[in-house]
Order: sequence, then structure tokens, then C-alpha cells
Amino acid sequence: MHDPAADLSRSDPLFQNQVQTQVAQIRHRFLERLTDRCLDMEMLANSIDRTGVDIATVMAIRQHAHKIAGVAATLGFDRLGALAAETDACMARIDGQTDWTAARPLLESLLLEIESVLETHAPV
Amino acid sequence: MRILAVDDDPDYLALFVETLSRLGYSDVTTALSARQALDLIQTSQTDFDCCILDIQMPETNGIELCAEIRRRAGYGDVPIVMNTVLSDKSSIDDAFAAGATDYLTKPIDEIETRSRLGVVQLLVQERLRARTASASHGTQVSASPSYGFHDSIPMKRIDGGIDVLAMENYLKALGVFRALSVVAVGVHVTNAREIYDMEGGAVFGDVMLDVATCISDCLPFPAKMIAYKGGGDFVCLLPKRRERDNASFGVQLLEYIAEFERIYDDLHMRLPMVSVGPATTCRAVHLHTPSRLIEEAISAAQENYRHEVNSA
Repeated sequence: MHDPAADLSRSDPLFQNQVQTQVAQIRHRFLERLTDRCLDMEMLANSIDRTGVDIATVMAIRQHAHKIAGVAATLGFDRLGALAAETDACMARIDGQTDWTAARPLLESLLLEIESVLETHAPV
Repeated sequence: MRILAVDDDPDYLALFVETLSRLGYSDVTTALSARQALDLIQTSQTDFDCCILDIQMPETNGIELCAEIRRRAGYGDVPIVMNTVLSDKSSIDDAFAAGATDYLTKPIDEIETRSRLGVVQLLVQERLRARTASASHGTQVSASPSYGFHDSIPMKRIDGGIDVLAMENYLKALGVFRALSVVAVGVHVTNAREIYDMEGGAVFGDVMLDVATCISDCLPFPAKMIAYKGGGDFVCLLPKRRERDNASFGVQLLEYIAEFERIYDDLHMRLPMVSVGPATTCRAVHLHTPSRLIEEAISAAQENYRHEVNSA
């Protein structure tokens, strides 16, 4: 299939412009999803705080952190990406209430960082 | 190069496709789940040249998907690259065991992606060249493929079989401490040249697969990797803690191959003779140049053979 983008040289200003537009769109969608992820992670964490560690809930939090870790740094959110990767790795090791107590502050830092990113770069 | 990229995160997928496009790979098809990927493979009129799979996906994960793709006709030796965040590194063993060729780490590193896909592209071109050569020689579809003496032979059907390139990538993925728990053992088919010259490339390929099957049967544990380097040389990666099994490996391999003697006699073919080298321990230096460990293990097996000849 013919790909019009392939006709453009990669150093061509038009191609660069196209790339920047695409990245801006991806960034916008990422930030939109980040709001939902933040709310969901908060809800899941509160649920563990109330009823104790449930591995399925921990894994659901991990899944969000994992997805953020995979994308954030590429979009320029380095600190967010690093915190998400740390949370992802930490959640993977959780096996009981003690582990959760140790992991909770890290998750809190991640949620604070998300809030800070959203405050600065909130999609309009 | 036709690429199939699979990831359940649409943001990642969009960024990845954009990066691939900047690197010159514009023929990319995406899937958001294993199910969708398998449907695309099933319905696509031409096979994909390369699959890039996220490891962590809900329902069917990337490792299960990799194994499933390997079972599909035409996908036995298609390069499969796993995409993973660093915390997934523990899954790397399983990914290579399921047939992965290499892995990429998240977040996207453009230099790493360029370099690894460059190697994949070479593999794809080599695969295409081999197919074209085979077609131009009028090879029948049902016949065994014909190989040159030094060609690599796909070992995917063998339990624990893996490409040499995938073995090198696996070694690169090991950290220093895990690398210390692995040994490499070379197996040299001492009459390989003779078998090749007498029987030709197609039968030679079958004989090497027989040897690989015997090697695999001698190692009755899942954590094993067997690669064929070409020229009658194999290398196996084994857990060091299996030292006792490793010690009896050479003797047992000779016994297993001897069981084929009558069949080979009936076919008027020479039975492959093997020499097994001592276990070569993986060291930190091998992590940067894994081909060195493979070469050292093979050299040790060849040296062992020369020693046996000289002392006979």
C-alpha cells in the first residue's frame, strides 16, 4: 500500500512538522488517559487500605503504572516515567500487607507527580 | 519490512509507530490484543516479516502470543521481538524459551530500536534470499530445505531449540549475577563435512536435526537452550546448578545417537559422531560479546576431539 509519509524525506520540514503534530496528538490523549488512571489508582489504593491486600487489585494498580512507565519519558515526562517504573517494579513484588505498607508511599509520590503534571499540562 | 506491532496501550502503540516511521519503517500494522494480532496473521494475504510484542498484556500475554505465533505455518523463523519495561526482565527467559529472537526496552529508545531492528532487517533479507534461492532451484514444498555446510539451521521444532542470534541476545539480557549461573557446552559433529559432502545439504539438515533432538533428550529439564552454529557445531546453555547432569551429558549423548545406528545403516548413511566439550563458564566479559562464549564453547568441543584423536 502506498504510504504518503514515505515520500517525504525525514529531514524535510514538512515531515518534521507532521511528526510534531502526531506527537502532540499522542501527548494530548496520554494526558487525558492519565486523569482516568490517577482516579482509578487512587480508588484501588483506598480499597486496599480499607480491606487489606488483594493481589488482583495490586496488579490493577501495577498495570496502570506499567503503562505510564512505557510512554511518559518519551513524551518528555521523565520524572513521571521513572516514578511509574519504580512503582511498577515495586507492585510486582507485593505479596502481603507489609509489602503494601512499604509500597504505599511510593504510590503516593506517583499520584502526586501525576497531579503536578496534569496541573501544568492539563489538556484543554 | 512488514511489521506487526502488538501492545494493549494505544498511546504506546501510536508513539512506537511514529518512531518506526521516523526510522524508515512505514509498513507497520498494529493490534491492541493477542486475539486481534492472531486474526491479522490469519487473514493477512502476505506474512509479516517481523512481529514486535508487548510482554504485559491482559488475557493472552506477549509470551503466550509469541509461542502461538511460532506454531503458525510460515512463522517458525520470523523474527519476534519482545517489548518490555525493565521490571519485566524476569520474563525474558520465558520469552526466549517461547521463541523470541530479541527484545526492546520501554520507554522507547530510538538508538536501541534502530540498532536492533537493523539486525532484524538483515535476518529478514537473509530469509528472503534463502527462500528465493530455494525457489529458483525448483525445490519442492514438501522436500526438506537444503543448507550450505556453514548455514544456520532453524532449531525451532526442537525442545529448547533457539537461533544463535537469539541465544546471543539472551546472554546480553542476563545481568552479571544470572550470567554466572549459566554454562555453555559445545558439541562438535566430527564427521559433519563428510556427511555433507556425501549426502548433500537437505539430508545434512535432517541429520543435524537428529543430533539436536538427541542433545535435547539428554537434557531432561526445561531451562536449556540449544543453538546450531553451522558446520556441525552446536552450543547449549545450561544451568550451572545442573553440574551433575552436565557431567554425564557427553556419555549419554553418544548412547542416544548410537540408538539411531540401525536406521542410518538401513539408509546407508554415516552415523554422526560427536565430541562434547567441557562446560565453559559465562563471565562478565561475555555479556558484551556473547558470541565469544559461543565460540569458546565450540572451540573447546573441537579441541576435545583433537585431543581424543591424538591420544588414540
